[in-house]
Amino acid sequence: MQKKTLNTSIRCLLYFFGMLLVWEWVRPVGQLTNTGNLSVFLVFVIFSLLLHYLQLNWLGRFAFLSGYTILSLQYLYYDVSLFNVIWIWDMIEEFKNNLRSIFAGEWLNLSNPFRSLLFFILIWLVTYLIHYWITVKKKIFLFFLSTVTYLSFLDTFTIYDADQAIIRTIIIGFIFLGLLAFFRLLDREGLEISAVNLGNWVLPLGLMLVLSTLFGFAAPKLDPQWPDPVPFFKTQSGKEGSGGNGKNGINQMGYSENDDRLGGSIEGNDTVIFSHNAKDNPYWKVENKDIYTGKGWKDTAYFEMSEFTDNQDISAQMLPKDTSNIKLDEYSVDITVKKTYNHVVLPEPSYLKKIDTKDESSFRFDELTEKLHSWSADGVDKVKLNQYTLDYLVPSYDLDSLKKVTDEQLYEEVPMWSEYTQLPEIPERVRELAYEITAEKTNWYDKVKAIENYFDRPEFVYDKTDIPYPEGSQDYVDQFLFETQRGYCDNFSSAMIVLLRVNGIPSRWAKGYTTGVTSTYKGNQVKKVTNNNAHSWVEVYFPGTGWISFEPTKGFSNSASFYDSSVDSTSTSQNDMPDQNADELKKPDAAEGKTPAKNLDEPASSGSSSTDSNWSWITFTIVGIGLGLIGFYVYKSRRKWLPWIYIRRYKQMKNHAVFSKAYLTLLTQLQRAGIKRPEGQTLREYAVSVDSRYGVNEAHMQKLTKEYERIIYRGDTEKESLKKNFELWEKLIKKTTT
Amino acid sequence: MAYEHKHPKLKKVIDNIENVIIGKRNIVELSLVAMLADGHVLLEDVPGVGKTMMVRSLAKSINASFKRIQFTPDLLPSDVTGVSIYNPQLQEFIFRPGPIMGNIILADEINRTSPKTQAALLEGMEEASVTVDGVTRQLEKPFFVMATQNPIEYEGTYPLPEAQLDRFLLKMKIGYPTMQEEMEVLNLARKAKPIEELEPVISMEEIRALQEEVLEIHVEDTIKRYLVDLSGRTRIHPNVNLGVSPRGTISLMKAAQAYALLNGRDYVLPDDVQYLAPAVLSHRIILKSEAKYGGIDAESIIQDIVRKIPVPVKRQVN
Repeated sequence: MQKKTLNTSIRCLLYFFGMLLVWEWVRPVGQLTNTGNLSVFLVFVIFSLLLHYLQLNWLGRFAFLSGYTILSLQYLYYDVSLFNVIWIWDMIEEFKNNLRSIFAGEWLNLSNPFRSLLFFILIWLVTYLIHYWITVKKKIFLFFLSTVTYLSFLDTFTIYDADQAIIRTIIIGFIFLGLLAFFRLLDREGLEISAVNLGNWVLPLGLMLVLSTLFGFAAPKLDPQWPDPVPFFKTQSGKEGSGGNGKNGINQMGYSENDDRLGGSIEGNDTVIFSHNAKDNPYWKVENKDIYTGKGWKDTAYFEMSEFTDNQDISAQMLPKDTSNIKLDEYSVDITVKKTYNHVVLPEPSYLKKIDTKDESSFRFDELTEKLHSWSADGVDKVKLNQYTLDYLVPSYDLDSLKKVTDEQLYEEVPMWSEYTQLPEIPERVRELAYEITAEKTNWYDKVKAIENYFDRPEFVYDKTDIPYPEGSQDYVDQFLFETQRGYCDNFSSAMIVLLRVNGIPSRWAKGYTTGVTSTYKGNQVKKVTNNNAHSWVEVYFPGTGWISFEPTKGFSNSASFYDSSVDSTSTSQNDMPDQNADELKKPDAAEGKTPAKNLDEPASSGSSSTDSNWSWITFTIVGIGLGLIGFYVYKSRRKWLPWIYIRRYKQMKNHAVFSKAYLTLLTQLQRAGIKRPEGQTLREYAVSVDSRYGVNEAHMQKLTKEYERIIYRGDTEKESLKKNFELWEKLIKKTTT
Repeated sequence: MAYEHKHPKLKKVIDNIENVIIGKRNIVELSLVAMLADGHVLLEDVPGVGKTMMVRSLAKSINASFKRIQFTPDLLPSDVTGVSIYNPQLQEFIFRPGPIMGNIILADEINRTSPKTQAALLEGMEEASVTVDGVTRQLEKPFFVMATQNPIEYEGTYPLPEAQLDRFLLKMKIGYPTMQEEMEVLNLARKAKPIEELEPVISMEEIRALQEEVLEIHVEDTIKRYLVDLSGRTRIHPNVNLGVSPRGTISLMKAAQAYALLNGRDYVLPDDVQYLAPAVLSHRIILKSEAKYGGIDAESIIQDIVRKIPVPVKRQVN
């Protein structure tokens, strides 16, 4: 009885250690990938190991853990009550969509619930492996080693500080290894566990561990002898950022008001800002800026406000005076804001018609920056809206009339022409380039398109990492155009505006978000806009038409559409991108719609979102390791499942060649099942040892071997016995799986 | 061996002999194998373990003429082959056949006689004919010699040279019976001599027919390759000075064919080869003196090689 308790408690301890090691893996995920609610996963790890420990059969385990997974997902992602079954359909629908995305290879379209599901499955498999290593193999070294490697890797290359984790892991790992070695010894020597031999083992083990840990603590430690690998690699590969002024940090993506100083690398941040159900996939504009400083953007201090109220039709105010060369389509969109600001995002390109907040609100619209603020009905306090509906008109512009706009047209037709063609001191080569690009174009539209298309050249690369700040007095655009030629939306849009302004074409910088990522919410398809969707683009003023947006950034498309009244006045509107398949073009949007607008005032918070892993390399590494472990396990357990494939394959034992193959397969499978055949052993001798394991009386293997011998040593090709042979063979190969 | 049935006729012979010889079934089988493969056997063992009894019972079982030659240092070749004697009545030389002119011959203590006399016997074994006074006389088939030599005594012996050992298909030891067997032997010895009661169970014609049949036993290419591998390996073995000759390889194949027939099969298995290899090959290799003095014997080297050479388990020959 005492032995049993001893055995049970030690086993329990082993599972506990297993849990601690798995936990060391999950812990950094929370810090590095915005995965919230890690406790849900911890509970999952505990349950899964506990069920293994209690040796519940697989069906019970499966039922319990699936139940837990589904309920956790419901709790994390579905706002409806548990008893309102609608969430089940939502979940199924969502997973269906995600599966489709997986098969289409669109990894970035996977939604958070689905990613969480995958994460659960991964943890599930890892805990199974832990169980397998503890109970069956009694070896944990591989897992221990990979844990240490994983942690040191994270410590070196990420912000995760693994100092404590490494110490914990080493201590846990060594106790773990020591205890498992003890169990292996017991097994090998056929001994029973007892307090005495356990003590004899654990005492020196513990003592050694304590001593070495203490020694490790107390021992003098050298400073790192090798250079920190990350900067070292960068200098070696010549990718060192040029931000010599110490401002070389990495920015988080998202919206911020301050754009004084652009540049630097950015990393993802998938805090959800709002979700919407717009049918036309618009961009979302927050504001414009008009003053380019050589380092970034500012807006004119001067402003002109117009006010209106909830549900007031303001289309007349918003539309240009002459709309004869614009076709308009009316749309409506519901916006649910997750992260509230007191500005209202506006679809782009569009003219706002009215806002419905289901509440008394008033709005102030800055005519210059086009930023719309929400105020209380009495106009005293700024308010943050949670939900509103926008009615808006989507324009399609007449190419023919746009192409009539040339330099000869009146500058005075452009309000604030000097502001919108403002430039700081810029290097001469930028001017030369600007003239060169537009040299053969006569009208404004063609010039704009020429400049926009200039950025499609292969030397320009979309990239968010290792983007330097301009050095010293260097111009931000100059650096991008002539030195780096790598960058993200800010680089592209600023550069385009500078080139336009050199040509005297009024233009301004627009910032906001791209259209967002599709996901399912309460049975409806919605688009979620996150900080990753932050974006900036270009607006150009055409006399007679107004502001039209253009998109210079590689891999993005703008939804402004055009028609040509000179060709066919009734023709459908045409997307301004050469490729007409807007849907297809939207995908890169979702993937890369990220802007560096620094989120200094809004530190990233994971909010209620869970595994918002941004599929950065950490996730890939974890998934990679997970897949590796799964692959390893599947390979290791092939003895269990391969025979079923073989049985299918050899069902039609048509001739002796097939039989021979099947027999040789059986030989391999038997070896896998642990009945080794020395090379010098004959098949008969081997058959005897096989039968002695799987049933002496039946002697299936000897019968089968005799048939096989006739084939290979006699050249026999009788067909009669094949069916009987297959039966024997099938019986044998099935036995190998037990 | 499972699912094997002895050749019915040969089984009768074996059972017959087992009435007289207790245990030692493998020796009986091997002797039959040697006879069927048209070869000869060298028994190396101490006196009194039943060598003579076995040969006699074999001879009686097939109703063959049995001759025994006790080799002594003063035995002359003509004492083996026979001699022409002048018959004054007929006024001519009449050939008096020697003991070699039988079907089954026991050459007892062959290493006690002079090499010349040994050569007379060995020539007969190899050529199946004897030349006396310029006349060559064919020996009747089956012609089966079972020679014995005493491994203990070295004084006054003429060990067979290696080249002549090659003439024996098999070399084997009978060995002592187990306790159980020896007790049974005692029981048997109290009765009248059982060997006198043995009846022939197979005719010489049948033996000859079986010898023909042995040649027809199928040897697949993989098996041939296996045989060649085995011999080849003896030639490069670190403890072996001189490996098995091609004649040795042929002998092994023939023996394996005969063994297959004995087991009622018409094709050779690697098992046959493995089983026979020590008996067929061990007297055909010459060990290095270091190995010999290191206590390694030829049989264990052959067994070692057999254990290590991969058995062919696939059809194609690579």
